Amino acid sequence: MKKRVLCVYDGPRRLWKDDMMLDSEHEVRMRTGNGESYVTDLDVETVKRAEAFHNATEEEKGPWVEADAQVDIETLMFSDPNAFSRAFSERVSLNIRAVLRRSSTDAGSQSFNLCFPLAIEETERGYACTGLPTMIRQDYNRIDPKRRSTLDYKKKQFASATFKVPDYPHRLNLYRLPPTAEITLEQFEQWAIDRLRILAELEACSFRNKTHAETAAHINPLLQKWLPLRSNTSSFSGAQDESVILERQKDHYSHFILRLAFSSTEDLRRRFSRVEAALFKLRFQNDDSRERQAFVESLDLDWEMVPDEERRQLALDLLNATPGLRRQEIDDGGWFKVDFETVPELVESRRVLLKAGKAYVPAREQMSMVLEGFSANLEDGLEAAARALPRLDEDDRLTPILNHLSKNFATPDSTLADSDSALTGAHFNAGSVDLLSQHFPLCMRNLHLNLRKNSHLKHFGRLQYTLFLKGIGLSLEECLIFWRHSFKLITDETFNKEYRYNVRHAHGDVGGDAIRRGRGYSPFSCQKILTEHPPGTGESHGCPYRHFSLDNLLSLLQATGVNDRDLLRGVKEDVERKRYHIGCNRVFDWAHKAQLKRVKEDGSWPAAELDTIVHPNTYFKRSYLLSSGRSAHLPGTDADMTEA
Amino acid sequence: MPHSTIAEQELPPDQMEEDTDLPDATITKDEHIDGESDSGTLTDGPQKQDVKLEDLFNDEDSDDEEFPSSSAPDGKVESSPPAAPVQVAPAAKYTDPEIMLAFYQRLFPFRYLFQWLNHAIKPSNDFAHREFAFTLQSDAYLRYQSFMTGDLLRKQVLQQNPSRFEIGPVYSANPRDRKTLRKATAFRPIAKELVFDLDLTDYDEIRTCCDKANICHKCWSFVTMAIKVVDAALREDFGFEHIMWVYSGRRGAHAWISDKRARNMDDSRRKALAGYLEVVKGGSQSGKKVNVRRPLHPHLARSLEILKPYFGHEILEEQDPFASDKGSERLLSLLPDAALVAALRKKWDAAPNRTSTYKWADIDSVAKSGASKTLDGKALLEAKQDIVLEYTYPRLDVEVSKKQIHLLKSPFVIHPGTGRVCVPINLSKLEKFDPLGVPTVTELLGEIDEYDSTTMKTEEDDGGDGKEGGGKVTADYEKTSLKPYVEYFKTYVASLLKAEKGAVVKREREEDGMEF
Repeated sequence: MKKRVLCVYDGPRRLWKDDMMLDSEHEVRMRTGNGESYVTDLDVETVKRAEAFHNATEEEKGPWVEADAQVDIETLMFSDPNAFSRAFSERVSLNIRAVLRRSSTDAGSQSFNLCFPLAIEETERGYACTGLPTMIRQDYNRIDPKRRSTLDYKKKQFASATFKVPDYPHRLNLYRLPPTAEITLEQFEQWAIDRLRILAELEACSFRNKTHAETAAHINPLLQKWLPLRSNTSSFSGAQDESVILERQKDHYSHFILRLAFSSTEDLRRRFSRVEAALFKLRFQNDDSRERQAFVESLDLDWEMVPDEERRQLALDLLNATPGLRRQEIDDGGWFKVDFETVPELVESRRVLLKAGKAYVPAREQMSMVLEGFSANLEDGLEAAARALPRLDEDDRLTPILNHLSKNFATPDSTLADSDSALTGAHFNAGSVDLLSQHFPLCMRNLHLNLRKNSHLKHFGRLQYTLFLKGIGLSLEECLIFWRHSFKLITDETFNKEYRYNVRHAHGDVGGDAIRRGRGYSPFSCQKILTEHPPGTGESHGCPYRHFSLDNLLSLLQATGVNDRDLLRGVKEDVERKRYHIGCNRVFDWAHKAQLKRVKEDGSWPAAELDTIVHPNTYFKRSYLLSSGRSAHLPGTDADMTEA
Repeated sequence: MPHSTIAEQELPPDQMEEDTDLPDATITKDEHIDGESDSGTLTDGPQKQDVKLEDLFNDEDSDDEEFPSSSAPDGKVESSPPAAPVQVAPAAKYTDPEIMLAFYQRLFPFRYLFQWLNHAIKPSNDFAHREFAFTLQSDAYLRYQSFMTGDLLRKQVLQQNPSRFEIGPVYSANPRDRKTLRKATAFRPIAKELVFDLDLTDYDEIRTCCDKANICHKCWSFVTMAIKVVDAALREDFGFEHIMWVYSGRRGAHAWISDKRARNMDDSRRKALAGYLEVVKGGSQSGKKVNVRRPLHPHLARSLEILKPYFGHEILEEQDPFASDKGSERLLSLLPDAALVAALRKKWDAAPNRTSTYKWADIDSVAKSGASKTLDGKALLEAKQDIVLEYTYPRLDVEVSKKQIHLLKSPFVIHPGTGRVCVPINLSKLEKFDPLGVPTVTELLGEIDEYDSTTMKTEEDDGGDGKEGGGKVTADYEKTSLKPYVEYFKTYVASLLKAEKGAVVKREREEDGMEF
């Protein structure tokens, strides 16, 4: 095979580039003068084509299009193919399709893949973003078989797409429709970053156990700064005001960009939908009540009103089932009858009347339902985005931005850096756990005491403790020895049969897919311990500050040698105000008063290392280092600390 | 035999579909007859079906009979145990492989189990994509087993003879193919019965009669009241209809809810439902365990009404939880008002052998006597309500209910520790259900032999005509005390199938309407 590449230049401008191929076996050779060299038919054709370009008249060439001008590609293409090709030879077309799919929950036959219309073109001065939207119909099966043959997909691809331009009549947005207009790459990045700031702050608030009012007070000024979203009444022209539309557009676009960035892993998806829901809730509550009503009505949700007759019959039950309701409200406010699945939050906390699978929800609880709708919608969307992500037809411009965004969504809670827990130079074995337990935070101390008392722990207790021990650097072998020795009352056989696997599983030694399981679970953070799996009957995991009654907590503290009266009073206040981790940190600070003072004075510990503790393993590490006086001067640990 | 099983499994799916088309039709017909005259014709069902299945599967395996009968006259029972009595020593280990095999072959109602999980007569993905997990005799645990039909499940069970097996969710793909799927997300659970697990060990703090794995009639009443409360909530509040309660074989009960709506709930909804039903919360150190809002939610008010009578008799009299020092301290710690508590403590210290009934009555009498000036009558009433709830309200193992992927032991398997069959509990006779009277596997096998030998005798007395006269075969389960349980299961499944069928027809009609 022979390949020839033809490039035709007009001065510095390249007019044409084309590859031509011919099988050398079949080429026609014409001998030249001396008979040693020859030209082939391919050469002849090539020269002919080049000549055609050079000898073209001005008319044939068409107008010259400047590099930074907006090109209407379709007009060019269909009116003047030559000019089209020239325009393209000048620009490198980057056709980036960020595929954002509409929620598949709307009727199946209508589901389209909307391709995000970012045809970004490189020019000498940067990137310009032109629209080349394509709309790919996903569900071919639904087409009437008789009509199928008449569809020409090639035509379809270049047909101008008709998108409904969102006009943002409401301040709030359920983000059901993906954005379709053009934005610049700078906007793409900037908007996403602005939104990310807000989300990170929101997550930090929930992480610090701030109450709703505190969070709102903290976030609102930031929202004003980075992601303002004004109501219709803020401006004279209402929803038609340019700047209002711009704000809403930014909110809309930044949401979808972050959707792409955070759809890649299960963990990111969960966090993203959690904070987005929090943000939505915050805005929903701040919204002007009339506009909120208009927004809710626009959602077209499937809610059935409870007829008066039924309402009167159920009056007493309604009153008892719905807390914080005045008798009068039963008659005044509207009541909705919805499937109980729509309001899991209310069902779980028993704040709603249920009858034969229907929940009777007062109008003021609609937030819970709208919120549920928001989360469900978002989760669907995120999964769709995750499925579409591998097909993202993209080079190296958007992917780095997206990756960068998802990485900057700092994760204070999810994992503990390996280096953070490994204490250089310390070798712990099963035997040293008893001694070390004086450095454990109260939750682990409690587990340890219970283990020693009963020679047994229930499943979640074992899990929490195993992972913690793994975190302080106990190897799998040592961990197995530890548990075997601790469960004194059972036989080797029972241990091997019922417990060994679990310990190995927690260490990532067995179970599931060898690649995916990695090194097993990470040690639980305070947040996880506080929020997940509250202990049940006979279980001793969880956080004593949260899950113990106050009396039991205080007596446990005293039993572990914490007996300072003022301190206990402080802890009591913290617990009453639901600031459990503050109580824990208070105990830590008290126990290491002298050492902390010393390291603060000589500055041997960086400030980051004196922050509030939010992980049991951090508690242990600091306590251990402070007591052994090895503090920050050890090589290796310095780096760990800044990372923590 | 094992060979043929494997061959069946490895058929490509489409071929398999064709294969199963035929049996569907026949079974449907069969079932139709069954449905009309309910239980009467069941006895001749197996014989008919036997022939058909043989034809269809081209398989000499007479194990395919749904309810093989040892007294079948055609002598085609070479693979089931010989008609001669199975000699079972009373002390034999319950999980003895021989016994287990005989149980699976002769008594286990595979057909109804299949219909129950399949929600239809015709095999569908509801069954084919369902995970089963086997615990083998060697204690090996095999997960992600799945079967196209109930017969294939039966074959595999007979071949591997597991000591028990568990039922998991329906997955989006066949669990056996999970590793061949291109993307991990293509394999995820999509439906499962909503399940609840009650275990008497969770009552150890408040039951005084037994502890750990032991139970007696006294503490079984905890389960009885729990079933009443949960069942009422599921039916009245959530509108579920197809709820089956199953004795777990030793010290608890499971609930399986097969309503379509319940099956399709995702984990967050399951969690919400479990939260709705959970009242007694907190670990060993959390103090007061019942903290409910006032006014009482209708669900709690109803539960309290159900539970009150039990509290008087089953708790105060039979359990007598406040008799011990520890018990009465616990009671005092749950009462408000320090003066009242002090007065009561003084009184009880003076009379150490006071029973719970008297102590409970003392609370009111002391309160009335004016021992405390500051006493708030309403607070005391509420505290007493909370105490009633703490000592009677169901203590569900909610983790089991929260996840679709949780595996739960199948009904009708044998509990390895006790040898008892996990039988469904007939709610109309809930009060009479006796966990200790549930037949064990060894008893059941003995009953078959006894039945066979007595009928043989009577037949001989009749002059040998008896065999041909009736022309009908008695299924093995009908010879035993397992009969009422299997029949209850059968009726339950029939009503589920009927509801399910109704829903399908309705949907089809709606779609028709759309087209025109």
